[in-house]
Amino acid sequence: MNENNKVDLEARIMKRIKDEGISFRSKYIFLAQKLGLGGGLALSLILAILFLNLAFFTMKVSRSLEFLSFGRIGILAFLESFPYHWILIGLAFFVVASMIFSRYDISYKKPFKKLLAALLLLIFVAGTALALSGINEAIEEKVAQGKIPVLRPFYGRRGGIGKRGLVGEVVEIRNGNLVVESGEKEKVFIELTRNTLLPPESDFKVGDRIRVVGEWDGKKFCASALMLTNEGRRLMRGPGRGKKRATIPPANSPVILIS
Amino acid sequence: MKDLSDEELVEKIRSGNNELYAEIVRRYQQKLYHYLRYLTNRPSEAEDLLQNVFIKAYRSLFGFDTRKKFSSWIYRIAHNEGLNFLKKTARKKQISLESLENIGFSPKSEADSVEDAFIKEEIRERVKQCLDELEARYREPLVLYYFEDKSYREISDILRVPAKTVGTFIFRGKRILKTICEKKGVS
Repeated sequence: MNENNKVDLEARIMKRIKDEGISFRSKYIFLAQKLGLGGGLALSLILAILFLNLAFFTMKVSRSLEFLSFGRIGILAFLESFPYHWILIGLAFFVVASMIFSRYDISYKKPFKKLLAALLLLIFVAGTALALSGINEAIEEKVAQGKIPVLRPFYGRRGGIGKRGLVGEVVEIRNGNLVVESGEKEKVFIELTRNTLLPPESDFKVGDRIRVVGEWDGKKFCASALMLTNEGRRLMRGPGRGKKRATIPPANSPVILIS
Repeated sequence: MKDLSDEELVEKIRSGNNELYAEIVRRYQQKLYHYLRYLTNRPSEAEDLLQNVFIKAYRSLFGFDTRKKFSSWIYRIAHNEGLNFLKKTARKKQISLESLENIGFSPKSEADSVEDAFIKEEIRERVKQCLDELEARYREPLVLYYFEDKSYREISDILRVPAKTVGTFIFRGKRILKTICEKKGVS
């Protein structure tokens, strides 16, 4: 580019600016962009934390980790009860947050992978703290009272019935088998056989909360293993006092289905 | 006016002295023209691209943070303009890194020695004709470092990659460039 061209270009650009009426983009547009970026980052981080908290809370109330105490046969039930959906939604918001974060200067001035790891740690710690804070239980109670209907899809279900395992309260003992009611008031007939693994000296009474692994056979659930989960304080019980007890039935005992 | 820094000049332009933008154009037209020419290897197009760069920069002046370096900001606009042009023209004449041997690397220091300056000048002359065949991600840092005399930090701000990666790209770019030059018989 020679000296003449330089002068020419300078003049041409200034002429274009004048003739075409080119003006500055408003500073408010840039401000809005900045705020939008910051707001988007904050919102996606908060949502990632909330959904991770929901995943932890779901695991806490369903006590899905307890399935692992059955050993190998409990793994499938655990995997089935694992709240993948909340984890995946939380991860999706984390991805959105990282994409927004990559637009900030710090993303290339500092090691980006380390920054992302720190962000993930922050989400994990905040999600855990929220899950342990008891706020979910308070919200769940309000949702149950119908006060925050918008949160019902998140807190309205305690579930309890899966393909490989279930949790519920014993509502009836029939011929040595159990009838259990899930958190959603569904009744299930649990068939106990000689092969069902039970805690030593275990017996069950109406009102006990139990966790069962096994598989479905039509409408009945054939228990492979079973344990008490009353308030999470004890997994096994000694002999009961005065209440009706379930005993392990003979292998060929008749089964009554609950309709 | 000539004593004013770029950032001070921008402040004045933003506060209504639009005519001062001519000074910005004066200061950067040569540098950006060279950069765009090397980046796109289309001297005929480089001037049009340069005009677009200055118009875009003018329109976005309020988006510039005066606490930062203006030159990095305007080079970034030029970089984006150049890349968009390359995408549009979909240049395929690129050499793949995978075809080359894997080379060990330790990033060099930012401080340029006299020897380094000499090497820079030598490289400038020799490689101009080979640059076109170099993949854009290696060509850009090489052009900015050897032809525009930008530091690693400035290149990092322009390309928005870590300074260490700039070093890696320059190192690898030189090795690939050497291969290209050898193939073309340029010593």
